[in-house]
Formats: sequence, structure tokens, C-alpha cells
Amino acid sequence: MDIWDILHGALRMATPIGLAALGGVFTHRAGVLNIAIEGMMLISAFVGVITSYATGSVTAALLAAIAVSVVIGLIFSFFGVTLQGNIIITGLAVNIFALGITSFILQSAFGMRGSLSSPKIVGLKPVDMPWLGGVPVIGPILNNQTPIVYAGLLISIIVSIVLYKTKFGLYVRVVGENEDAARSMGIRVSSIKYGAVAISAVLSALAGVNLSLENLTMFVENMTSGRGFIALAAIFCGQGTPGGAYTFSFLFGLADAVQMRLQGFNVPGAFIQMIPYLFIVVILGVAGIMRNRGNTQRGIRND
Amino acid sequence: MNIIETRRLTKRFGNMTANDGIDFAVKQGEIHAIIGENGAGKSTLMNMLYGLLQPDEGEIYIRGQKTRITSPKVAIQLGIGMVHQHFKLVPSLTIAENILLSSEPIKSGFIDKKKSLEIVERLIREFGFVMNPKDRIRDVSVGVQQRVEILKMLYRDVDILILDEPTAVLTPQEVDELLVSLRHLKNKGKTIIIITHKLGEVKRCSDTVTVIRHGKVVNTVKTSDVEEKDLANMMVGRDVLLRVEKQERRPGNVIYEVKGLSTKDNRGVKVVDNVSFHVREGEIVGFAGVEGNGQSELMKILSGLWRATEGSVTFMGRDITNAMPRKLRELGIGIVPEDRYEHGSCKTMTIAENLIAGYHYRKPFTRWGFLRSKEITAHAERLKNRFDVRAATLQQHVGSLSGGNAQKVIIARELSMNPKVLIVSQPTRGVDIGSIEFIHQQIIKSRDEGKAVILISSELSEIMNLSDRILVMYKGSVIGEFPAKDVTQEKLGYLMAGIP
Amino acid sequence: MKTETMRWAKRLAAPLIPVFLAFLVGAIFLIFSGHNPLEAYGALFEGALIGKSNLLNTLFSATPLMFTGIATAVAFRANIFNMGVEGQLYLGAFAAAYVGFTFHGLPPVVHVSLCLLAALAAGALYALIPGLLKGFLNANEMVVTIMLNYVATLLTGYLASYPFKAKGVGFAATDLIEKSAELPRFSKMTQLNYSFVIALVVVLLAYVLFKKTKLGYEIDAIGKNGNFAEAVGMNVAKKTVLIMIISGMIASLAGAGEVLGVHHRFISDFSPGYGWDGLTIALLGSNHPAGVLVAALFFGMLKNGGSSMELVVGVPRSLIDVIQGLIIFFLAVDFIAKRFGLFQTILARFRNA
Repeated sequence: MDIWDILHGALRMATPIGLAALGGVFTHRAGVLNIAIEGMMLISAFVGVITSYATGSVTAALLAAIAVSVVIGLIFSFFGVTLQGNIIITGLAVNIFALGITSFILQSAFGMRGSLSSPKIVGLKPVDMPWLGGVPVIGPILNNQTPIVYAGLLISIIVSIVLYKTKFGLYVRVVGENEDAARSMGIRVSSIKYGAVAISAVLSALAGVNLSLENLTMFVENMTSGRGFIALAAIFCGQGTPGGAYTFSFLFGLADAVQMRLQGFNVPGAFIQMIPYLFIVVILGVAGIMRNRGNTQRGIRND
Repeated sequence: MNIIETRRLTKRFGNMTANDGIDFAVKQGEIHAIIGENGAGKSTLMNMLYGLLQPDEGEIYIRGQKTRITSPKVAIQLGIGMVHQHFKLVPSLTIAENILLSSEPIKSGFIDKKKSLEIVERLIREFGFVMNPKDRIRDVSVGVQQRVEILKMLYRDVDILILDEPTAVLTPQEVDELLVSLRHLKNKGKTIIIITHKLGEVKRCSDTVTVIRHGKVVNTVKTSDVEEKDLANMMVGRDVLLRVEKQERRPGNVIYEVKGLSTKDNRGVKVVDNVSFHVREGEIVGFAGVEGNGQSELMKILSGLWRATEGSVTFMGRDITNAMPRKLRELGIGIVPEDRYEHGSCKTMTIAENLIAGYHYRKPFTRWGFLRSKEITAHAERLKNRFDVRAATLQQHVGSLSGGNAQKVIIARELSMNPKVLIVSQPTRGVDIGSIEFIHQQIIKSRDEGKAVILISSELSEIMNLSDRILVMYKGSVIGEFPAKDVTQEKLGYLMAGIP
Repeated sequence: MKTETMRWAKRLAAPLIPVFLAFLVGAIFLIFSGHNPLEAYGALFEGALIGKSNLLNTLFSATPLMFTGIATAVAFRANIFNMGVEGQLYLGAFAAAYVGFTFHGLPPVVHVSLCLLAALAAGALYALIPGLLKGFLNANEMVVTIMLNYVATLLTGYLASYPFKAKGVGFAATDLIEKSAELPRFSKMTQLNYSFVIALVVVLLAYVLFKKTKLGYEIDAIGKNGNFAEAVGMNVAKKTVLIMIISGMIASLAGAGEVLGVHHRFISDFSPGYGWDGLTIALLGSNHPAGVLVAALFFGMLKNGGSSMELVVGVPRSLIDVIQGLIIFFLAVDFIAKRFGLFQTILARFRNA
């Protein structure tokens, strides 16, 4: 059980969560509670697979997934922002809808139930760069990963720059912190929120495609398995910063990787599979305790 | 020349007409005050001039030209700037970032931080203010924040400055400073519109006054032609008692005592610092002070919502430090919170339901865990009459009542349980004059009945009118204590500014 | 007088509009996938309502939804987003099954009661965790409960696959429960059983709770303005825990009902998402027991009809999930309609265009 192996696996498993979390950082900072990440990931995973199936082109698959995800994001924004519907419920609607529509099309168009697997589906393979592999310490972790994993690392840096150094990033932060102030200075609050959701949709699409075309080369019903919510937890734990979100995503990926390794040791898989989920519950509990330390106020604060 | 003129300007929200055919004009270069009761429509009118709201009917003329002000950006382009009562600043950003918000200088796609600082430093010098543009808003005082808001507008070259209740958060001395600044700006050719309910200030600084009542303009007069009582009369439509009748009483025993009370906020800052005082039966102790000097936090401790980190509170010899809200009520302490809609009442519950809140588990309202609606309704009827709550039915939501009536509901509820101590905070903020009279009478009545009353208010006139003894709070501590008849407004003003 | 009837009309119309719109959009999906919407919907409604056995089966499908809908509604009314009904359901189901197959020779009434009590205990304990976390630590109950759902399914799945796996059975399930623990069916032609009666009782009790009791008043206050509730003396932290426990207990009954009345054993992953359905139902029913009952019956109709629709016309059952998601979307719009009045909203949009 090589530790580099585990870390390598951790990075691989962390990527979909991390990408989703990075997108979610924008919506989080803009004050939009984006539960729909899970649904957008699932639909993207699905669209990626069927496009790859139909065209044999990974690029087409990626573009199609992004396009569809953005459309879903727009619908979510329309109902949640413009029409001011309850944002939590609207997000859940996206997720339930995503589950249903992927299942529906899977059955109607492909006559399959449960999963879609076929040699016609073209996926993305890990890239071996020997020079990278030679780098001490991080080399073995970074080498032999699929393209979107590398994209994820790059994007975490880009997101930081955009959020803290550009006008758009500033406006996102202002809208999230004091919407009134933004509006009174003429900043178009709705547009900013739509923008944040759109970015989140694009990154969720990458996350989804990573799941269905990189980790596996198939679509399985409900394959996101709550990763969208884990991404949200990563955002909360990381205090809404890109670095924090990506770091926690990595930690969750680590838990996942450890879980997979332990399964080879005849320990019942169930308990190990529980680890990431329990981890989050514990973290939220600890975060709660930390927040309440030295707290002088009674009562509910809706975070 | 009329720099602003509105004709038949109308705005509706659903069934409610907030502004009804307003004809209103401001001359260039004057300081024009707009007064009216809460809910009269002053803010609505100003929000339309600033592009935050669109009129349903009527026209706006700026410098003689008919215009549609569709957003704050358009208003600013027209030279109209607004400083709101609740500052629209972003706490985690610096002064410079706030001032330049939405007009940041850009260099190769990124925000040019160096240039931003240069621009703002120049601006601060030009208008003679004193502040460090690198400071974050959450770290500076309220007075400085207000000046940042003003600078925001001046940076954008506005000729017309609208100020919404600018002196609500200032000490009397800071008010003086502000009025001096305003006159200075007037001399530079700016036109200033002030929305306020402080008639004294209207008299001191404005050239013209427009009175608005129920969405309509009642009158526009030259300030020098009227007295405060005339203005009050115009605001309400009848003669109004500006001072309440209060007789001398001899207070009884000390029943409520606070010693060395302190607490911290969530950032570890001490916001209440070693506060000690006592209250006797049949006495009103008033806490004066500019908002933000610890009164809110003190109130929260006394009402059981915040924990004190040091000190004690004793009631009739019993230690009630950090007791929970239910315990306080059970012991006979009635509480009228500062924020009537956040803590004091539930807007979407009925009047009847609000009137039993906090006492709902007691007989006769509940028996064996079941609510008894007959008793609850009867109780509500009694209170509605006794406290003159103006509402069509008891099944109405409290949110549909006016501020004054909602406040009466809260006071009715607390007094109905005949407490021995009554703790009230900001009882008449945003309340119509008629209800203010009534509420003040209720407070005096409680004191005459032998209750110990703690009154916290940022309205100095209210404190001076009602209190038997006055304490002044500054930066979390009590900086002075006097019998009410022994102290002047001027002295209190100095104390409120921290000058003993 | 007129405004009173207008208000009732609005209240009834409110849930109907989203449903109608959802079916409309669903029809579009059907057309795109080459099906005839009228045919499909026809088969749906016929399979759900026409004929005694169909009708009873609709009630049967509605039963677990009544439980999960009320369980969700109880929490939602207090502004507590208990998304963990699914997990609480599973634990309740397993507990009921365990008592069902472990004890022998008990009279039926006693045995069933013990099973139900076990389920209630399991649901209560499991809901205690998020309850405490939210009430005392202000942790986000939504995320916690969703995570615990996965833990519950994994845990019960494990229990049914290893320690308690029935011998000689090819799938992950426990032994059959004793006959004395079964909830009998109403008739041979349907799976409808006495858990339906228990569900009706729960709905009734929920109504009494909300409208007539002190706790109901407190739930209302906490849901409408938690800060106010705290300020006037309700110990919101303790009440939060209590409300979560009640919600969890009702959810566990859903699971118990399925085990004792339908499968007669615990089967791993048996729930096709009753918990999530409960969410939709609570929303559709505006967290009101009567509304939840109607919504549950409606969904029972959809599910029962859905399988008919698949058999007869070949339309995948997952269309029902699509319609469910759409209903929730349109429900969000409806919140506006309730606030400003639908006509005013439309007129305002035209005027500002």
C-alpha cells in the first residue's frame, strides 16, 4: 500500500468534487445557495457519455455537457433569482429533475436501465509525462492523471485570480456581502448572480464529465452519489475561499481513496464507504463547536 | 431655478399608494428639508429621484428637462447622489474600494489598486475630511462611515445630494459638524435635500421645508416662516403634545440591580464594559447615548439573548445573571425589545397569537398541552381595547399593522402580565406621533403603578421627557449619571460624545 | 365576503397550477420521445383510478408518502430542513424487521406494537444527531441529514447482507418476520394493508398538533421567526431537537409500514426515494396536513399509474420523476403568485418591459 498510490488516487477522486466546489465558490460568495450542483454534475455526466457515444469525439462531449449544464444553470437562475423562488427548493428541483430526465432518456432513447456502457463511448485516458513523474514528492501524485484533473489544478488558481483581482470577482463578493450596497451603486445584482451560476455550471460540467468519461467510461444512474453536496460542504469548511474549498475537496478525495484501498482488505465495504459522509458530519459538528466558542449570543443564526 | 421638479408623481405598491400625485420642487443651491411621519412616503419619493424605484404616474424634471431615472447609475449621471440612512457600504472592503465601487480603475484586465488609492487620497484632501483610505469599513466609526458615503457621491460629481435621516446615528456635536459641512457644500454650489423627522435640525439648517403626509404634499414653506410646533401640526394634521405630562413621584425600594456587567461580541471586542446601575420601584431610569455605544448589547443581555462575560444582575435579591428569556418573564420582568419585527413580534402571526407569545404555556391559554382559543381571543379583545390597537380584526397579521400599532401590541402583551420590571428599548422608533403619545403615557403609567422601568433610547428628547434618572452610555460604559431635572441637553450631548 | 372566497380560491389554485404546468412540460418530453401524451396520461389515470383494485393500489402507493410527507412537513413548518427522512425511514424499517423476526410466540397486537415502538426508537435516535447539531451547534441540518441518508442506507445494507442475511436468499435481505408481526392486508386483490390506517391516524394527529396544541404554536413561531421565538422565551434549541425527533419518528413509521405490511422482511435499498417524495409532497401541500394528505394521494396516483403507464404504453416510469422536478420548479414560481398576486405580477412585467 504505497502512500503515493493513495495520494494519487486522492487527487483523482478529489477532482470532480474540487471542480464542483470551485464553481460553487462563486455562487457562495454571490450569496446564492447552489444546491443544484449535484443535478448539473449528473446531467453533464450523462450528456458527456451520450455525446461521446454518438459522435466518438471527446471534445464534442465536453462542449455539449457544458452547454447543457449552462442551460440548466440558467433555468435555475431564472426560477431562483429572477422569480425569487426559494433557492433551496429550486436547487432540489434541479436535482430531482436531473435524476428523472437522465433515467427517462436512458430508457426511452437507449432502451437501457441503470447504466449505459458501450465500446462506442470514447473516454479520456491518463496522460503519462515521464519528466513529471521524475519530480520528487509530487511527481508520482501528479503524473498519470487524466486531463481534467490537471485542468482542475489550473482552474483553482484561475478562480483565485478572478475572484480577488478582477472587477467581476469584486462585484461577486460585494453582491454576496451587501446586495443593497451593490444595487445602490448601479451594479446589476441579478446579472452577477446569473454569471456566478453560469460559472458554477461550467465547472460542474467538467466535474461531471470527469466522472463519466475519465474515471469510468460509462454512465450509471445517480453516479454523482451526493458529490455535489460534498462539494458544498467543502465550500463551507473552506470558508468560501477557492483555496479552502479545493483543500477540503482533496481531503474528501483522500477519504474516498483510503476507503477504496481498505476494501481490498476484506473489511466490509459499507463502513469504509461511510467514511466520507461521516467525515462531513463530524466536520460540520466541529465547525459548529468552533463557531460557538466564546459565543455570547443565543438564538438562531441562519448560515 | 428649480433644479428638481416633480409633477403628479405617483407610486403604488399593490393596493397601497405610497406617493399620490406629488408636486414638489427644489430650487438650485438651497438646503431643502422633507419631513413627515414614518410611512408618509418621503423615502419612496427620494428613491424615485435616485432611480431605485420607478414611478407609476407623473413626471420628473431635472434642470427643466423631463427625464426618466431608471437606475442609480442614471441618477448619478444626472448629478443626483444619495446617502442612505442605513449605509450601503461593504464592511470587509476598504474605504477606497467602497468609494470607487463600480468605477474601479483597470489596468490590463485587473483592478489597479495603486491608482485607486491615489484617486481617493486626492478626493479626501479636496473636501477636507480626515481618514485613511486603506482602512476597512468595519474598523471605522459610524461618523467616518457617513463621510465615506458622502464622498462616494462627491466623487461622482453630484450637484444634488439627498441625505436620508443623516443625524440618526450622530452625537449632537457630530450633528453640528455635519450641518457645517452641509453649509460648506451649499456654498460650493451644491443643492441638498434632507429627509428628517428632527424638527429642531430642520429649523437650524434648512431654507425650505416640504411636509408630506399619507403620500401627499401638505405644504411647502420657508423655514424662517414657521415654528417647530407648526411643522408638527402639519405632519400630523392636529395639535400634538410634544411634552408628556409627568408628575413627581417618590420611588420605592431598589428591586433591580446590575453590577459590573460586561460582554464581548463575536470578534472578542468588549461591547459592554463594567456597567453598574440600580432601579427602584416606581422609577424610570433612562439610558441615553448615540446608537452603537453598547445600548443594544446591554439590552440583549438584560433580555436574556446575550450572555454576560462578567458581572451580575439581581432582581429582588435573586441572582438572575444570564437567565434565559423564559425565566425572566416568569419572575415578572417584561421586555419590549429594540427590534420590534425581529425579536418583538412575528409579522406573519395574528395579533391574537402575538399577544400570548412567551406566555402561551400558562393558564388560561393552555391546558394539558392544548390551546384554548376562547380564552386567547377574549384576552386579545381586552388588550386591543385597552391599548388602542388600530386593526380591523384580531386575525390580522401583525405585519399589516403600522409600526406604532405593532409596538402597541408588544407593549400590551408585556404589560398584560403585570410585570414588576419593564425594560423597553427604542419604544417609539419609526412610530407615528399619535402612537408616540400613547406609548409614552403607558410608560409613565407603569412607573406610577410602582413598576421599575428601564428605558433605552437614542432619541434624547424622549429620554429627557420620561426619565427620572438619566445614564449616558459611551463606548460600552456608563459615563455619567444624573437626576433628570439636574441636567441639560447640552451637558448630555457632551457626555454622549465621550466628553465628561 | 368576496375577498374571503378569493383567498380560498387562491389557496386551492396554488398547488394546481404547478401540477398542470408540469404535466404540460412533461407532455412536451413525451412528444419528443415519440409518445402520445394523451395516450400516456390516459393510461396513467386509468391505471390509478379506474377499477376497485386500481384505486386500492393507489391508496397503497400513497401510504408511505403520507408518512414521509407529514414527517417532512412537521420539520419544515419549523424551518428545519430535515432532508433525512429517507435515512430515518431505513433505520425504522430495519428496527421493525429485527423485532419482527427475533421474537416468537407473541400475540399479534403485542408483536406489531413492539415492532412499531422499535421503529419509533430508531427513527428518534437517528434524528437526534442532526437535531442536536442544529439546535445546539447551528450546523447546517440539510447537509448533515443528506449525509446521514447515505450512512443509513449503507449501514442497513450491510446488516442485511452479512450479519442478518436470510439464508438461502439470493439478494440482500433479512429473514421473514413472524406472522404475528405482519400488518394484514385489506383484501387479496391489493397490497393495501393496515399501515394505511396508521398513516391516516398520523395525518390526523399532525392536524391536531399543528392547530390545537401549544407545541404546534411553538413550531409555527419558530418557523416564522426563530429569533422572535427565542426572544419571547421558547427554548429554540430544545424545541429543535424535539421537532427533529418527532419528524424522525414519523419517518421511521414509513419504513416500518413497508416492512410489516408489504415486504414482510427488510430488503436492502427497498425505498425508491420515498423520502424525497415526502419533500415534494410537503411543499405541494404547503406543510398543511390536509394538503399533505391530498398531495400524497395524488402522488400515490402518479406512482401507481406510472407503472401502468409503463406496462401499457411503454413510457418509462422515470417520467414521474421528471414531472416531480417540474412541479417543484413551478411551485417556486407559485410562491411569487402567493405574495404579489399572479395577475399583478404579469401586469407589472408588461408595464416595465
